[in-house]
Amino acid sequence: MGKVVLIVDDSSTMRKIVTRCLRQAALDFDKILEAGDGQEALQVLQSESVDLVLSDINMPNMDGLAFLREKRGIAAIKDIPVVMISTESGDDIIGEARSLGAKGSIKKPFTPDVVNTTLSPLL
Amino acid sequence: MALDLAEQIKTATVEIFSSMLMLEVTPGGTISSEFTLHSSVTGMVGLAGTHKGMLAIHIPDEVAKSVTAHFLGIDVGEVNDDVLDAVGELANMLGGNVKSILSAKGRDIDLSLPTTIYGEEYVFQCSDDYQLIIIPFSVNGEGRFFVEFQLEG
Amino acid sequence: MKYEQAVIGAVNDVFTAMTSLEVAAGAPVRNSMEVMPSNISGSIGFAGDVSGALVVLCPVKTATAITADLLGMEVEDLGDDVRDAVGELVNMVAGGFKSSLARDGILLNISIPITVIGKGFRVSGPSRSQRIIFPFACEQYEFWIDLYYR
Repeated sequence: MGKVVLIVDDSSTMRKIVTRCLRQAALDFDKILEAGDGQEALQVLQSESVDLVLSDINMPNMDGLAFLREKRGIAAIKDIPVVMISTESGDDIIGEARSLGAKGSIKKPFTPDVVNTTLSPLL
Repeated sequence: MALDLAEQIKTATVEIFSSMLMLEVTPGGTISSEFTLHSSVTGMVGLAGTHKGMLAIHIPDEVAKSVTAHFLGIDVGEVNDDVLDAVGELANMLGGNVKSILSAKGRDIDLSLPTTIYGEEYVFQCSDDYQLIIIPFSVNGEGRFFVEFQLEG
Repeated sequence: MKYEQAVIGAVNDVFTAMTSLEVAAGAPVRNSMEVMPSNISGSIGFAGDVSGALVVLCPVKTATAITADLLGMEVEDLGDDVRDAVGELVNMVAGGFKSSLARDGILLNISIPITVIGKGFRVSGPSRSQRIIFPFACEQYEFWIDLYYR
């Protein structure tokens, strides 16, 4: 059965770019859900069955780190793996994200191959 | 925090115009959405380091020429390289002020080189990723200009 | 040559990873006064061991073609998708530029990307700075990167 992935990014453009890349990465996703910030992501996780989360770091309202912090405290969703999408300048933040429970990170620009290699073990 | 920062940017702008240009400028209320600029010059400078952001000043052509004339003490007939450099330098000075507002010692933030945009009609885009402050100023009897600040996080 | 290699390498990396478009770098031109025709620009400042700004300049057709490929969907107008895609592009290119110079021991930080969309505008750097113009061909479209530094 196909899996469900949630893309969290405030830019709808970036969500489209990630969606395109997931399709090209030949991963077996049944459904791709989207959220515009950490707050929305928490709501989606609590109402839908999600297998994996891909999250941006800089977002308004609730950013990627705050999202990890909140998610960690909610028993029903705390074990859903989260992979951060980072930019070149976000290296130090990835360490912090890892300590908050993120399972990995993908650095932009990313290839479908890198996306596949990073996400496959988590599915 | 954002309101406080807006007040500090207002004060810094008024001071720079009064001390460097001998021009009295008056701030208006902050606005928070992008807008189309017509026949204007924009000077902008990036902030990089512990805080990432961008400071811009948008000045209509006529006001930019008169501001440059005050700044350089020369007659300015058209928007030329002097005007572009002067507006870039204004952005640079404002950026320097914002840098010291954000980082007490000013050590953890560096300014990029300023760039200028000059055009008939353009929209300076804001991304939802960043906090945005836009402050209009009136220059006594000579029109308006805007100071814009975007900050990550 | 290190600035030339850093910019061209970063552009190649970004296009190879993120798009299916072939991109070819033309010969960089130093300190020209040329004004490039653009309807959309994405710029980002950098500061550190060297300070400057990196500006991507595109005509409408280039911007929409690149955005359509990045997103895997049709794009007709200079709307939010094009704005955000150009912002992402310049951010990724600047990130690659930063890493490449770091390998040469030149350290810098980058600011945030700003996009400008309009008719008949030009972008310029300070008169007392070095400028390198990088022309690129992206399939049948063209774009430029303007690098200013000091």
